[in-house]
Amino acid sequence: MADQEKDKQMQIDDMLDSLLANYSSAEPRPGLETRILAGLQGAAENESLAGWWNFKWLWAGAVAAAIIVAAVLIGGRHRIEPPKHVMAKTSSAIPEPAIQPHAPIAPKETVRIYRRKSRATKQPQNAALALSQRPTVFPTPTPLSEQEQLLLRYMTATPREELIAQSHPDEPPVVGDQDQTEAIPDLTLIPQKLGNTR
Amino acid sequence: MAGQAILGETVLKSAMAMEGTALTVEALVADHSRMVFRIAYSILRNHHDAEDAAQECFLRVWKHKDRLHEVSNPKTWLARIAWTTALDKRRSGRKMVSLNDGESGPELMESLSDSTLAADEQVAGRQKLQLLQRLIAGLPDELGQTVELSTVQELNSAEIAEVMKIPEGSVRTRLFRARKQLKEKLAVLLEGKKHG
Repeated sequence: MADQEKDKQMQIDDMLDSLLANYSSAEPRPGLETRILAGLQGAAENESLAGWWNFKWLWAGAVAAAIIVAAVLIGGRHRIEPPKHVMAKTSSAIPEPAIQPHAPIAPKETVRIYRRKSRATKQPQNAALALSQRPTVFPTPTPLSEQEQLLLRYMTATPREELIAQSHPDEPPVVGDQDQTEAIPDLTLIPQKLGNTR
Repeated sequence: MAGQAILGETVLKSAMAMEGTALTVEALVADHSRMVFRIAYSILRNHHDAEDAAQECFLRVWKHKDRLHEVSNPKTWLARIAWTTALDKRRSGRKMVSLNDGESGPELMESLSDSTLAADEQVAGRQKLQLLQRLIAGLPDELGQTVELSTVQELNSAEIAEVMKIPEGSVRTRLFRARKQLKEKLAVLLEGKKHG
């Protein structure tokens, strides 16, 4: 009984050894080295090609970025440029008129400053620029016109009583009652005539 | 064969014409491609998959060609790469024969014992290997992988230990335990055949 068990164990051992010995005894197909080397060469070529393509794409990206930056700069310059007429009207370099202190202030001629409506939504940079150049005195003092200067000169040269006398309007000439009644036509008949025409 | 030799010579020359490190990779291919294939075959059990794994293994080596001078033991280093590559390939779901596929264990044992004719020896040998493959697949992973590496003729226990990054004593212990379990399974199969 023990011998049978021992023989059985030896049989199993031999079977297992033979199985394990042949388990990985497979031989590769001929030309394995060649195929592996060819694969490596292909990988090297692919890598060099990929590197060249990466280099090319790098240059293309740089050129595209330069074009975009140039376009943005050119477009931004046109957009920031302020309108000329606003600058002219709001310029603070205009000299203030020399007004004598004792002279009466003449009514100023209203100067219409034509301003185009600022497009705040579309051009916020222009609006900010116009606000920064707005004068501190409002309304903006403007030089006297030629007529204003003549009037001012006349008022300073003429005596005060004469000016007061000239300031009153001329009274209408005194007319008698009879002449007044004759001068005024009778207007009562006119509506009747007009009524007959209906 | 002559065409393959010419092609191999051409590829060898072009490989040598590549960078200087390519010669080292080529030397590794010339010296260890057979071992790499067998390691892969012990795990994948398929010629085509084993060759793919060998190709992938050397591609991994080629990607690290700049650091080849740091490798102290190219054989075990390459064996470890081949082993991990094959394990990755097996995990990726490539076709593996499961225990439920095809003939069952007792049926295989029956065919093994009855295949006495010389014409059937090749079939019997294949069935033997299928049986052992199924028995190994039934082992725990650490035992099964150790047994698979031990079947590669080019690797001894010390090299297996270096490949698996475990002590050599652990390799021997695992092989003993694996062998014991395999014998028990074989005994069960033989008993089943006798009673059947």
